[in-house]
Amino acid sequence: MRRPLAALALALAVAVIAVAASKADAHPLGNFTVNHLTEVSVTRDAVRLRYILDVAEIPTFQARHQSRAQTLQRARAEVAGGLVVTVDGRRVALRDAGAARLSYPRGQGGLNTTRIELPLTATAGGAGLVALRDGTYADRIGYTAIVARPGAGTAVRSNVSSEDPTRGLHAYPKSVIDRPLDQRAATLRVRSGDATLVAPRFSGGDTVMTSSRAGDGFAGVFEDAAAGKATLLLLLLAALGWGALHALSPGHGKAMVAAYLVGSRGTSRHALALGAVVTVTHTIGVFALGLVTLLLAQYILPEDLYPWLTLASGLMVVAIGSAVLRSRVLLYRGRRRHEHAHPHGHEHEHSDGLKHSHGHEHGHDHHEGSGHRHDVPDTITWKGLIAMGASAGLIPCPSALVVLLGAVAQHQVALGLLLILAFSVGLAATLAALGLLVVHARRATARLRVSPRLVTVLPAASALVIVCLGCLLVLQAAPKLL
Amino acid sequence: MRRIARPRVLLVPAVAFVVALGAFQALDGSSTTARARPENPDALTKRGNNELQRARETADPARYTRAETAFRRALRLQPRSVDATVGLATLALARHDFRTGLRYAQRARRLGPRLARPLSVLVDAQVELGRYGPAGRSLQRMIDLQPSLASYARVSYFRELHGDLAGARAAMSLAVSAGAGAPENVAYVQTLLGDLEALRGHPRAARRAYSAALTGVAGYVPALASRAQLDAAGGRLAAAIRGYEVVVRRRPLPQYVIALGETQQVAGRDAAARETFALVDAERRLLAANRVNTDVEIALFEADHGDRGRALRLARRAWRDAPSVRSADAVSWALTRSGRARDGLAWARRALRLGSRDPLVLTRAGLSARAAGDRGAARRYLRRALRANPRFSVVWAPRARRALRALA
Amino acid sequence: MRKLPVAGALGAALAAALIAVSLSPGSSHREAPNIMLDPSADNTDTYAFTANDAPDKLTVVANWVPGGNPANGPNFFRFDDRARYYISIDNTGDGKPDIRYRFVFKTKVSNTSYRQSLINVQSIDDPRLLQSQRYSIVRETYTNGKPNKPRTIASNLPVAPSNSGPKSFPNYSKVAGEAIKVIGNSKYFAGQRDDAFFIDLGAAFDNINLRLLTGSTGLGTDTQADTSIQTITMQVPESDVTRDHKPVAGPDADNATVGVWASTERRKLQVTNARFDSNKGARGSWVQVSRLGTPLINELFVPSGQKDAFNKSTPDTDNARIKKYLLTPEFARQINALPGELLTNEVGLPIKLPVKLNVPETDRTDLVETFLTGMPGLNQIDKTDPLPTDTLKLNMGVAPARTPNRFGILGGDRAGFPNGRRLEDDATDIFVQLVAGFFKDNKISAGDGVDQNDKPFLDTFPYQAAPTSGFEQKVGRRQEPPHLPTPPGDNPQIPILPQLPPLRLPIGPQLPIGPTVP
Repeated sequence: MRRPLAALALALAVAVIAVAASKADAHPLGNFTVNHLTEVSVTRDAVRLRYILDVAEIPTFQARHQSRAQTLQRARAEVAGGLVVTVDGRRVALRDAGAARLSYPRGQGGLNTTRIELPLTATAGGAGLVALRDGTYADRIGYTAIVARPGAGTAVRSNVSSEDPTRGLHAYPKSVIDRPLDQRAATLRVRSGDATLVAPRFSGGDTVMTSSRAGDGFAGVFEDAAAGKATLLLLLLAALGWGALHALSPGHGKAMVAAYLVGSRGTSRHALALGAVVTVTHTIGVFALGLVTLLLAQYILPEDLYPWLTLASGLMVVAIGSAVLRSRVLLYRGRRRHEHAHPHGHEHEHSDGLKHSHGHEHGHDHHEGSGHRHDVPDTITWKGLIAMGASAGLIPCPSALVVLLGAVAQHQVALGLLLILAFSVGLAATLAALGLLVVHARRATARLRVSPRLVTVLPAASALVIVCLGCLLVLQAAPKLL
Repeated sequence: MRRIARPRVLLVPAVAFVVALGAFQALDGSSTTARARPENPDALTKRGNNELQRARETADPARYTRAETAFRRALRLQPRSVDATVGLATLALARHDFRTGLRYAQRARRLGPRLARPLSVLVDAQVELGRYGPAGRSLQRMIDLQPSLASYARVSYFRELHGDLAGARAAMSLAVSAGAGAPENVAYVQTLLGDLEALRGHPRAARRAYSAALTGVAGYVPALASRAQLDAAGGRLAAAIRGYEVVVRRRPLPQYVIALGETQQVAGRDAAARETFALVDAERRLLAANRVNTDVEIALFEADHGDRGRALRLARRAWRDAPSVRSADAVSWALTRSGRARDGLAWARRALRLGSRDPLVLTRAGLSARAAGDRGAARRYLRRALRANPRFSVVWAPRARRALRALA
Repeated sequence: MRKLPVAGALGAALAAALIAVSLSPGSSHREAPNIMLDPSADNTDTYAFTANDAPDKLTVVANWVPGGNPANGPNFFRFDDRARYYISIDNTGDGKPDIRYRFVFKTKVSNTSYRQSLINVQSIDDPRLLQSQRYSIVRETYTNGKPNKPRTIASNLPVAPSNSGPKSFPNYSKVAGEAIKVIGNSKYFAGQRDDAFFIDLGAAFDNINLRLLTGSTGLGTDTQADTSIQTITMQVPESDVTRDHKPVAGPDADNATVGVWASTERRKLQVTNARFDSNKGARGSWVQVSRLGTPLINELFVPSGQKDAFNKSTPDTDNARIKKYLLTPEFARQINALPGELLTNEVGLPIKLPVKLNVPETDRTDLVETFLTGMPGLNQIDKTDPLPTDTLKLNMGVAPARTPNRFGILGGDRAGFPNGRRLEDDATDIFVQLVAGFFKDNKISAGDGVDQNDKPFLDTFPYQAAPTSGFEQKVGRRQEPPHLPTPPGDNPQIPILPQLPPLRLPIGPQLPIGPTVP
């Protein structure tokens, strides 16, 4: 039982990643673009530049008859004519500062793209004001940016950001409207200092200070990484916590779990195992539903899809609630007959020791109900436990789906998987805790001499509540579908 | 023992979680930036519309992504925003996802039943999906509510599809006269007016319209392309090729590249034409890689210059995505070129079912009819193709004439 | 279930990811623009007043084509040849026009060039003016709602060209001045002028950007500075527009008040009517696409889903159509919400205004009276049973003020808005203070902080200043200098706050209006 499920989970995870990956491969700015980025740093005696050019498939194809040398030469000519650097108002000549790099990374449709990196430098001893204007490829669409970097021996205040979300035109994050798309000018005010740079955040607003002895901005990268990690931890904790809370919402088979543990000789170990099984199956369930949603979303608006999902989940909740209710009612009837037969026996058992009374009660139950088909087995077998956990965990859970789809939408599939896992662990923790609670509560109820009738009626009542909640979901979904 | 939490309680952690996700994204620096600044749905919609307009002007797909972000944020703040919904419909249409476009348009129409704007996208989607009856009704409602450049231009296209070139011209000139806030919009309708004049055999009026468009927006690519086409049809092949080369360098859309290659072919520059056609093939591969197939031009190109089997597959897929008369024309021609002229003729009838007087479609229909052995229909179609303007195309007009001579 | 809105949002983001794959290199399917901005038919402002230099005449200024940036060439600004421009007058109070002036334009385009002009244009008939417009005026009159035979007043009148700069027009004022035409006892002018409207639209089109500390104390930014409009300005004898064809004897005369509005009509088409051909002069029916009487009514009261319908409608339907929106104005609720909504300033500090604005939100019969029926004893057309109609109601018997108060009626100046509307009237501030409850004993000194136009008005016809030329044009913003709080809405309970940077509003009204701090 466990193995096929695990295999399914793996297959689904791979499928989800594959879908997302194939989308992410697409050159996000289109196959027409000529993208360029200029990194600029001002050191004590020079302006250092790195001009990066990323030419998409179509323009690369249009220039396919050029030799490497010609391609480089054209790019150099474009830069020489279009990239203007002025130091204190005077235009300065740009020289090569190392070997240019040219490569043809594989693009879409079996076509190549072109990538060129030109290290450049200009003499600028004691510069006060360095201005840059990028007039290259002015009639081509594409991402254009200037990024400031700290330079040795200077303190620079820049009007362009030091952040580069493209990591040197290697990746194009989903663009955001606050960001400039076509940044072609930069001004840097330079004083002598210790490789510091004050620059605005990419998205505008406040400024951020970067400093680096090497002048390569590594410190900033580490800072970001550290910040990122801290948030990741927080995020995982949030997912865990949310999962734990979420387990309390209807449709997670708590009733079934509890009923199972109440109705069978459940121990703490069983409760924990049940939790683990729920984690696995729930993760799989979410992935499966995620995949279905991804596929459906190609044909249906998500806004139109969600009411259907709600309806489906509502109907499912109703079905589960009804099933539990039915089994409870059957059990109750059976028990009532049993109570009539052995009223004293019960009281005696309850005032008696825990284990004994419990076993006894079930013995009677079993005996009385043996003629009926019922969902609550007598003893816990591992097979039964897993089946129970699977049916509890496989119930579709839109909230977890939200997490996964959100992460996929943000091109963060790995993060999404991790979060789902954390979420499921949280979910399982609650269910396991609930299981433990049930196991112990059973003992407590025994001690408290709660009417056995109540013990039997309570699950039925809760099943009724589940049915009602399911109906509510259906009712809420229905008007949107009409 | 098992308190069932009310769903409302769960909203809090859910929201907290999503916010945390957003914060992570922001700090990760790779996606959305979570900014404390509150946003205004109207301003966001306005921004989205500006990005859409810029996308029209530059053909830069990144603008579409930005527009989409703006519209979705606006919708998040104001789920019943008509303008943001119309924006998403416009985006879907621009991406040739006509069915999604139709659904958003219908949603916008439900949200703003007394507004003209949702009707514009509704009409576009219905036309592209071949639902001409409903499209006509939507369009009539739109123009009754608000005659403007947007509605006049759509009336013009609708009339053109139905073969009413004079009426189309009249409506388009109303659109030009009405004008719009963005010069590009005016240049666009001026170019279309020129195209209608060219179709009607008035090359001078057409050239005037293109000049007007180019005065309004310097280097306006669609006007340059149309002017090159006019040059080619008028036999000025060198000028046409120069014009197309400029266009293809600025914006290598398949239809422009194909036109360049075909003009080069007619001019006898076969080597250059082969090179140009190689670019079309590259674009076809990119389209396939991006799973975008609603490209009638490429299907027609494949039928004439490439792999006929592929042409048929592409055309059928175009028909599946957008069952319009344009797609029917592509299916028809792909069938005829694959040796199934009888089926081709049936599809040609479908392409002409509205009464189109598009000489290219008529020529292809005539050639299909000839290949299918229906000489009467062939003559009828070819004569009609040559009637309004005997020099409608440097490639197709001579073909039509030759076929007609052979039939006589 | 409650989670689903979030799910919807993220699901939408998911869809975004799915279709945000690299865009296909497109194809030629039609993508006609669907932005409904339609400047050439868009009424921007209507003014009706009695001018100081023409006390026995009605002066109407009707503006179209908003936001003209003079440097936006080579397209020159113009009226639409295929539209009909109207100034309508209701002198019976039923909301139906009794007299309509129809203006129809014709563009002359030189075949040789699409530039507006060659250099050194000396007069309005100069052949160096390559593109120009001419217009004709038709006066329609109605008796009991039935049209009489329309009368052509004049035709082939010149339209003042767009001011492209001193090289083209060494003496623009002279050239434009030649577009003033005197016909009988009336004067007419059509063409480009500086937009008389002044407002701090702030970043209403960017982020709602509230400039605190503005209002009655200046410091607002006139975002309309330097922008131009296309105007039709006319000055006609009172006897041409009164119900009894007689001049107005005094403010209490029965014929003293008229309602004025401007509108635009475009031709309706039959989508599949092949017979239609504009070359043959075939007639299509006309449909009104825009109308404007009182400023800001459509912008601030009419819900967005009704705006197209409002523009199509006529004032006689306003009782059923818009009265309800004035009785319980959404805008009043928005003003009340302003202080609580001030979330953060630029440095992220949460700021709350320690005020309650107490704007009455229901039963605003005062607004219906000021804007729709006319004020008793001042500018009701039908004094016994005034019908709510959105027209600019001017009592022509009130003598013009020598020194107009920009708050009009609110400042005790009976010759100003909402009795008609003068160019000097600070419509935004008046409007805000009225909605805030000026006539309901809730006087709040609120406003946009812009008190006057960037350019002084002319003392003589056509009153609006000459447009800024494309050559001289600066980016259109002017900041009002700070000054002491000005009446009328004195509201001492609002404390003075320290200097703060501009604040951002989360969800603001369409106009950023700062609760004022005197």
